[in-house]
Amino acid sequence: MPLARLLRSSALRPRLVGTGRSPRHLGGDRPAPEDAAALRAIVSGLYGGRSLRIRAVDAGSTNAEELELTALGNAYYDIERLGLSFVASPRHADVLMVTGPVVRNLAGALRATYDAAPSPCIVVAVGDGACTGSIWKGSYAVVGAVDEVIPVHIRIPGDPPSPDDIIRGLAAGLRGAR
Amino acid sequence: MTAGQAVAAGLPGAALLWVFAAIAGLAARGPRVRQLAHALLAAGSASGLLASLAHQLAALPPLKLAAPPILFGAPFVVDRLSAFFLMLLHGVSLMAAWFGWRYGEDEAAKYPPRLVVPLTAVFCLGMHGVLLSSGAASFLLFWEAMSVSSFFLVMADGTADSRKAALLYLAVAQAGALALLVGIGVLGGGSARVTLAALGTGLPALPPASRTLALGLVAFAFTSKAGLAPFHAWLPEAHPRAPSQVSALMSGVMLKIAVYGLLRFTSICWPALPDGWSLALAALGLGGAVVAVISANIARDIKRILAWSSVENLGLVFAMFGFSALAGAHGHPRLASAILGAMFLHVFAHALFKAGLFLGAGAVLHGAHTAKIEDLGGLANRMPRLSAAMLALALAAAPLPPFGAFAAEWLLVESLLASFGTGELLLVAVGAVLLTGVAFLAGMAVFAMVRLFAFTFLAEPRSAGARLAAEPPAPLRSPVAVLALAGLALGVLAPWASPLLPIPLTRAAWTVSAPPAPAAARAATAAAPVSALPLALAAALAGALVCAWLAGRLLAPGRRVRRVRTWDCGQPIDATMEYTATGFSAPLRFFLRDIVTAEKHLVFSRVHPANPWITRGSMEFRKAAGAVERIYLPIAGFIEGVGARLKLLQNGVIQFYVALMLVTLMLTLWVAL
Repeated sequence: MPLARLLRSSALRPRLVGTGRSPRHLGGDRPAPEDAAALRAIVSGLYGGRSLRIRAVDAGSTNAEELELTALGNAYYDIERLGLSFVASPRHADVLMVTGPVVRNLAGALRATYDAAPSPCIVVAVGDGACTGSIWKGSYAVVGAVDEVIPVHIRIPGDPPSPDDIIRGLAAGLRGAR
Repeated sequence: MTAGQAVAAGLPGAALLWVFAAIAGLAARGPRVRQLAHALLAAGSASGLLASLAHQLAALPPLKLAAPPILFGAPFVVDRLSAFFLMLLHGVSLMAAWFGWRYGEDEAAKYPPRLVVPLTAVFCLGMHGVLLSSGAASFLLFWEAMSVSSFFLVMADGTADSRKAALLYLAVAQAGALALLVGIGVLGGGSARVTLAALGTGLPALPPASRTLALGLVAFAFTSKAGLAPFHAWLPEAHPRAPSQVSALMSGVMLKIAVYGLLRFTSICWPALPDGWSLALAALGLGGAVVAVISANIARDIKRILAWSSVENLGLVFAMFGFSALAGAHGHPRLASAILGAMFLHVFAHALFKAGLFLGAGAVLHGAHTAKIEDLGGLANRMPRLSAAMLALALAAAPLPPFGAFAAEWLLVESLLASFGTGELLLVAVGAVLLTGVAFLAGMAVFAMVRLFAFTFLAEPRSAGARLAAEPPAPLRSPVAVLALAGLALGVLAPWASPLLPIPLTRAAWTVSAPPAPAAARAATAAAPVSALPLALAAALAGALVCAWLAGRLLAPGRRVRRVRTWDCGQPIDATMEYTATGFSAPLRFFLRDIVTAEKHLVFSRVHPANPWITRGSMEFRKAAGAVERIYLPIAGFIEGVGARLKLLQNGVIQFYVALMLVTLMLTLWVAL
């Protein structure tokens, strides 16, 4: 039925608009398809094809890293397609992404979160504060870098690191993992 | 020394030691003499325990003990039936004396020891005397000693609630004793100075109405004492009030004395119990047990839960007795004796675990200063040894293998299934109802015991008392452990326990005077008890656990257990987050809301009359009218009404009194002439 086909094609199909070029070329921030593909391959090889769950832990950051971590989940970066997702409890997590220099008031909470996560647990220090303590190093209010409280496996520097940096850092850090 | 001599010396010796214990307790002014009194209590119990065990294991015929015939007109006699109950009495009283040795001193401020120690001795002496009496007069006398001394023990702490409970108990106990007195009077031709055996010989001469009346009175006397529904309302009020070692004696033994009385009297007077009575006993027993086990799941005081559980277990015992009498009357002696075997095993197991649980509840009360289950919790960390013993006892009460009560219920279920093979409609129908009832009771008892143990011993403490509790001293926890081990031993050795039961398991054997023919005895013994299947089940269960553990080890080698703090999402975990005992039983209350009717009253009042939005609310939640409101209070109201009418005679006018005397004189003369 030509009429039905016409109706379906005009009303029900998603219509393409614009130039027909891929939307990733719209932004100035260059995405990294090769890093994403590498990370996807690593994650799918890591636990027999199962996905990797991330728990974000704020140990006293300026919220800059949190914004970037949030951006990882949006439609542009969409880390769920790589087999990574954020979860609401350390009980469900394989990866802890810790942000910020560890302030004294949150050191206990960080320790408790690490204890609550099932082992083996990959700890990623995200941002300069988490990696080294950054400009807060030596302050009476902070303990310092994350590795002074719990063991750290991957460090992703940057103030803040962009989502691409985080994807690239994860891919680099997990390359040797089994 | 032969077994006979041991019995002849041990049982009067026990009574004598208990008399001395009462005197020492009465005279005691300091802890030294009180401890002597407890030692005498324990010594008497040990002597009686050894004597009754000797009587049982040597399978002795009925033995006459030294007796003062002038006072009672009948000697004291011990036979297999009384030896069985004597074994329970002395075993439990031994543990109670051991427990009371320390508990009585520590709780001296709450329960005055000068009251408790002598009354406990008199209480034990009363039960001892009831079991040994072969004459109606001494039976009644000791029965009263038992009732009255336990009445005073219930109100030992002197609070208003205890007095109220004790008076309710006294009213029911005295009504029962009065019924027993009248019943004996009807059976014995107006005299109480007869032997129990003689009560049966005079029975055929009585008119049928008197016979029914006597049976009704006797049945009321014993079932009200044993807490059969609907005469059970006093039991969950009175038993928790007494000091714990006395609660153990009351629940563990005194209820069994009533069962003993019923067995003895019905064996003597009604070798074939009329079907209607058997059915009524079975129905009341089962119905009462169902209501009691639901109440046990709702009660919020440990000792009250245990008391309700006693009502349940005794209801089951009466149901077994009724069914056994029914099977016996319909010509199935093997079935009847198998069910009697289950009944005795259950009585035995119940005495052990209930006494243990009450003593354990006393130790909890001693350590945590509260028996409210909502205020306890976390005691497993604080009292590990007591908790282990209480766990075993709770499993025994559940009842689960390998404990004694499970063996008894298993035997009952086997017998009930066997009753389907008789092909008699009545037996099959009653057996099917009982089977369903037993299944329901077993499931609900598990629920009640899980609730009791979990909310007392697990999780975090819910009050300062429970938080600061420590392991009770050895004299308080050792008797609990001994009773738990005894319950375990009874369950494991159940297939070989028949020498401890009053074999032969026929009611004809319990008439005191006439021992049955040896052939009949052998046949009944051969028919008696317990297969080894419960034991096999327990072994299978243990085997399954071991296999699961081994499989875990083999399939996941090298898996380490990491112990860290519970994940709390940053909110410290405390006792207010815990599941409560009331919440635990909420689904049950919901599903059984037709049985457990509760009244909830919500009242909202405006804080300001013009503002309809801000209100102050209050909720009142109470159990709807139970047996007390529906049965006891109307009877009490009726008696009070009659009393008020009779009071019109006592108007204080002397002329009226003189006129009454004149009328009485004239009437007497008119009748006499």
